[in-house]
Amino acid sequence: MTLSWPRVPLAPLAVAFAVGVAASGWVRVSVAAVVVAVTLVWGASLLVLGRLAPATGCLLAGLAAVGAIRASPWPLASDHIGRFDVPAVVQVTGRLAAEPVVFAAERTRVLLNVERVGDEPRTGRLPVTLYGVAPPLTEGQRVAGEMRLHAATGFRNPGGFDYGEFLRREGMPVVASARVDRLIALDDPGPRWNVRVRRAAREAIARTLPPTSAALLSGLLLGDRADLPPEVDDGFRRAGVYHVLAVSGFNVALIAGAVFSVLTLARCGRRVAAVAAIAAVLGFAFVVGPEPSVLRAVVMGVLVLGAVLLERDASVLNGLALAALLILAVRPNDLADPGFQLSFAATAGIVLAPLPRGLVWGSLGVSIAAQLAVLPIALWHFNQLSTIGPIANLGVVPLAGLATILGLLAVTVAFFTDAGGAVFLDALWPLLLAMRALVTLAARVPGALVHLPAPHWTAITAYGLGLVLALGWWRWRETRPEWSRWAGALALGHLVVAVTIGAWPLVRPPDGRLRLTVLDVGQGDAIVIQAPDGRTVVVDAGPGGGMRLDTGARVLAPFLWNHGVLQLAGLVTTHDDQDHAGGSAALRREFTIGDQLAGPERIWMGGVSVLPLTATDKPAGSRRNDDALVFRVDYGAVSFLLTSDIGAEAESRLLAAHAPLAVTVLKVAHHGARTSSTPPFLEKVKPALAVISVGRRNPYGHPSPDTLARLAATGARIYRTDRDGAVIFETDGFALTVTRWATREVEHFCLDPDGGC
Amino acid sequence: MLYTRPQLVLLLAVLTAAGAGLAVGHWRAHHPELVERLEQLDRTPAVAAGQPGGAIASPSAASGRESAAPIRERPRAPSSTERRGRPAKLTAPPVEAPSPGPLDLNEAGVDDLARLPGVGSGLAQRIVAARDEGGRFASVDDLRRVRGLGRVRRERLRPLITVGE
Repeated sequence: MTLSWPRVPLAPLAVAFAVGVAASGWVRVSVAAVVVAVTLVWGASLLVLGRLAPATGCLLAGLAAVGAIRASPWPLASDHIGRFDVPAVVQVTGRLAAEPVVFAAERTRVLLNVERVGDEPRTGRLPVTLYGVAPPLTEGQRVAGEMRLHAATGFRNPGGFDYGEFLRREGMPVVASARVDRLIALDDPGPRWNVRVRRAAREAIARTLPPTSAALLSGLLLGDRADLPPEVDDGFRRAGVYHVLAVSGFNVALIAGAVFSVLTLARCGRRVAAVAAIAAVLGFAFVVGPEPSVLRAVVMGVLVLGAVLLERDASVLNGLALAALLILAVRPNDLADPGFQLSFAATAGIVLAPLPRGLVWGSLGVSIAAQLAVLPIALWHFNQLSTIGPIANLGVVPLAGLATILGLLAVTVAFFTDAGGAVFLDALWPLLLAMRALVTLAARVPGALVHLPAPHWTAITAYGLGLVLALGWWRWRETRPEWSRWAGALALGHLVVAVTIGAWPLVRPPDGRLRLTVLDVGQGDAIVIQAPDGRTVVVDAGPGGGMRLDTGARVLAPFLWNHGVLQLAGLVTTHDDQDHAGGSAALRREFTIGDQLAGPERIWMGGVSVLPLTATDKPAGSRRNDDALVFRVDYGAVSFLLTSDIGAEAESRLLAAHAPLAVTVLKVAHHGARTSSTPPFLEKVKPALAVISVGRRNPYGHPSPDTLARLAATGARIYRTDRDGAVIFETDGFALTVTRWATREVEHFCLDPDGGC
Repeated sequence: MLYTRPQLVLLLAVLTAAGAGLAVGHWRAHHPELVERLEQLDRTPAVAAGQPGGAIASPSAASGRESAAPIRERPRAPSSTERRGRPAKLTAPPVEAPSPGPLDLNEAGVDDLARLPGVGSGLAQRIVAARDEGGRFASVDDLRRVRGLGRVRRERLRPLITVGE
């Protein structure tokens, strides 16, 4: 074999284990256990018979089964906090498992290792959101306080990230919230050394550099992006160089390389230098925290340095495989983590790809190899395809490297003398400015960042196989020209298949159905109308703005991209409350938006009529609930009434104006508030189905029991986004299907009077 | 020689950094307003960035994802096995808004016809062509002379259309 895999004994093990971990969701533990037992027996028998190749296969299958068992969720212990009956308000005592994270003004997230609840001992981890300005807390500190326990929740939308599901998989089905004034610290051990080092480094940087540059350097050195202004952060993403803001193998390699070469130059001897570099790398990992990318780089770095120590050759791929095995054995859930996937894919791409010689071409080769390897991952998680990235990296990465080395030097010096540290920080300030200028420039290039639907897993598989075959084509082209030709042709075929499948959502012809989705955005409204002719309008974009999670960016944009919607025919904000208008800024940033629904006229989209029922002369910015825009949507025999947040006053105005109100589906006004949906209004609307867009545990008590009773009295079937997740209505004008996304329950209704559905 | 070549290179690098640092530090101290302007190079005023009231944006909202690593569920269309049970029958409310009453096949233009569910512009044009060629429609069933308008589709359209005298 001319491929190098026989010299990478750990790679098949890592791949087998990863496959097992990935399959754990589909394989039952009992089945996997049987597979382990069978493969062990068979493997042993084959070994005795001297049949090595089949024995290898058997044992690899066994390892995969072990991976599946390892990744299967363990049942929670009987005293686990996750078994607590929620919701409940209880006194919780526990120790901070990590440093607190301040994620918004007066919002802090801490992770508690629970010790007791009330008087009973309890175990398990509990994420707690603290309201108010939190006192200085630190990892390892014991705290107690009155907390409100509830089930972990997230937004449940097609193609959306469900934080609640994520927490449940991590063994934290219960979360808590508490006010800081109800929390008391039971001891004060003071921060651990690694936290002290991190804080001191940040303070030293902030003392000398202006705020934005300081925040950028904190990102480069420590992966700490909390203080980075959003537009700068966004610029790095658009320029395709976001990876420099995460601590990665790059930082670790720089540290190891710098310590090793300086000590070698100081004639300390290679072994001493290697030991010191290992210590520096481990220390750095403790300071920046156990991100998957850091762990990967540390394992590989220690392996390479260890090889120097033992005077042996190190195989980078072997190190990569070992890192994967170790991380997955300890934290199998990391396999699905974008950081893990990006880090391993990029490294594997760089190591495996044939790279041209020369500084410029070599760097471009590295950049392109990494981009090709992470492309499906970036599309899958973030819908992002960076076109400028390979070029922008050529300038940004060297600058980031220089800034990182100088920054480490500056921070180290600053531990002894502030003035000395300031000199080196000043020296790297122009580098930071140059990097920011370059990033701003690259981010401004039209089409620098393209958003596309997340590819289907078959497309990703075809793409991966295509890359491997392309590698074979290159490796074999001199030794085995015949194989090389075959591999080349197959690679091309696979890539074509991958692109075709990946592009399908974009080119798919419209299916002639109207799809109206009431998205789960918590307490707020976001409705996407996809017309039979493929055009899409959005009525309200959910909560957003500075102080909360922006559902425009987090829920609507991914939903639209994943449905192949890259531009909107219209975006309308019914009134100016943040729970309806907040997300629209993000949509305006990411989509080109047509002028449909901008005026008071009815619009037609492929047989669908959208009719504004209210007219307001109030300018945008001053529309309150009763000024909200109301729309009627009609397609064949199926109709919808979208009532935004209107109250009794606007309802009576609509009734007085004899607006056409009778519909099949009512989007209940104002999240089901008591002051809306008055009996005369409901009497006129007579909805067969009613959908309430409302957040779980909202402080307003929506939907009100009164409203629910009134709706029930009209005979309407009720859907709620707080229980059902996104509610999806699909119709061809006669048959109507309703999907509750949280449970994937589908109901069929027929509106053809002759029953022809 | 006192130093080797690589050692001198290292010394040179450290001296360059220190010298540059001192120079930049002095320059910064003397030109605070220029420093301020340079620092604004990639900043946009909060209003222009289109974030209502968003000078203080939450870092988690800005960084594009939760600090905890998100794993996303894939979009999944409801499979055919999930579509169980017979469709429930709903009575349709009067179709009030789109057209005042059913559409008159003998008066409607291509645009009106194309607004009927399941009727695209091609089919609408064929309907008008059939009317122009073969005369007015005598009944809804008379639509059978239009290519592509089978019995099923006619029955579905029946409540929405009528035939004028």
